[in-house]
Amino acid sequence: MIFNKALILLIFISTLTACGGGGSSGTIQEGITVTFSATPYASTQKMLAGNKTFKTTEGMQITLKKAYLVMWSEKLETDCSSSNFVQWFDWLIPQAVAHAQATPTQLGVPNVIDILSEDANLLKLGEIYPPPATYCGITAELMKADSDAQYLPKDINMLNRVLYVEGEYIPIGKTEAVSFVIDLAKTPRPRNLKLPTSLILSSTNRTAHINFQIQYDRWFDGIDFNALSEESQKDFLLNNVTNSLKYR
Amino acid sequence: MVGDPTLTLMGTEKSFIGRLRFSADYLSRIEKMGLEGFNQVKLTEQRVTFGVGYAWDEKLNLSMRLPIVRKQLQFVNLAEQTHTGMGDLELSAKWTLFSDDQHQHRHLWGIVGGARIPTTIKINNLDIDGQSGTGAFVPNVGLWYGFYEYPYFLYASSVYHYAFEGFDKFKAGDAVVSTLAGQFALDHSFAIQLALETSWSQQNKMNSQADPDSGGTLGFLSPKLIYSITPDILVNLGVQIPVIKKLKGHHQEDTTLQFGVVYDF
Repeated sequence: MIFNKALILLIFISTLTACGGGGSSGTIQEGITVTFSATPYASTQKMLAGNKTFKTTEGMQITLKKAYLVMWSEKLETDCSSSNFVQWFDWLIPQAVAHAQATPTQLGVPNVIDILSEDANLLKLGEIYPPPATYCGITAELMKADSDAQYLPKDINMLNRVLYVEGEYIPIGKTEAVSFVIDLAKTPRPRNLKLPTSLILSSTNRTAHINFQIQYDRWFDGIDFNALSEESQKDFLLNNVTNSLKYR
Repeated sequence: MVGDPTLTLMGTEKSFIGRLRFSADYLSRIEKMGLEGFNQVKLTEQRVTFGVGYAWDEKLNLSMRLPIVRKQLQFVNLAEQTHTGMGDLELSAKWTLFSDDQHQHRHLWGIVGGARIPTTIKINNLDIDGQSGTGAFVPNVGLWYGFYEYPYFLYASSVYHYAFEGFDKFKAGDAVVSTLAGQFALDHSFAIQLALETSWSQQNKMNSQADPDSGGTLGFLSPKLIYSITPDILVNLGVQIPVIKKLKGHHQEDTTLQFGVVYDF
């Protein structure tokens, strides 16, 4: 009697183990994925990797020798009617720095963009997996890099920096270049960009790519280099940097 | 999940020495985690759990349960993951510490303990909620009490579960699973049962980060019909209706359907 029951038990265990262990299977169907990227971009001509020389709207020649910008987060928006999406012409609003939140509609991975990389060279920022909806805009935030940031450079410690630039300018009417360094940790107002046509993500349209062009040759328009140490000039510069983010 | 699996497998009646019992239970449930339309993940689960129970002697019952699980995860971005596989093996022992011999064993109580053994085979690229088990060693220990007076049967148990780290550094929160059940036999072949099954758990952790949409208190009202086809075969059909929903974050459990068969060799 006991032998019979032990045999039944043994058969039971063997059968279960065989059925269960050998029958594992799985399928994965990819969902909606939006990829963000960024690229340096000069509005006048395409520039290769390395030092970049251009002119401001005032005609001053600028040469960038190092330039890093931290894109903190990028978020898809479904409501673009708020005042945030009105183009801002005023200055900065300081914000508390918190770690970027990763959500289905927001990429929370900070990225350090090397502006001296080749123009139009796409730098992948990351992917988000948003729900199906009609998205009308994007909000990009520039903030100080933390240790989780991607593409941290080796030549400059970008932790706790938003923007770092080394370069030189030639004052109008002169021929001698003057060196400058810009090292900023202030948080500019988020950049709200309305998409020219709404991005409709659905079961039949599951992938999208959003690229930010950073028009670095417009950063120094209207800047008074003699007053670069003044807060107002730093704020003016950061406002230019924020406005240089374009959707393409 | 809630409920006391030993209740089915080890019976609501006093067992006799050497009893070998086989059970097969089907369960279907839906769980939603996260905020709807934003980051919600919908889990649809069906599992068939095979079990054997053996009465070693009058005081000790041993059991083993192994689930075959089918899970479907639906993410807010329309991604889907489907998986069928063997879950984690559950071993348990139920020991009677006290039996009221003066009143024909009317009152019984004792301890129950066991462990979930990580027998699940991990499927790569599958979310932890889509795996057929957590791949963790989960010991448990608790107390149980039974009151027998035909046609009535009352049962209570409370079991503490501690989970070690499993797949992807996932660690389920400590949990206390309690059952309070009453059964009434209409005759020798048909009984109705009503139970309040609760679960309190801490938040789950992944890489030491707490999952905000996990943990809390959940309580089910569980009516069940039990029918004895022959003296050796019992079938049961029940539902678990969520009545206490004090879960943390955005987390929702729907009604669970259960169907089972028990066979005594």
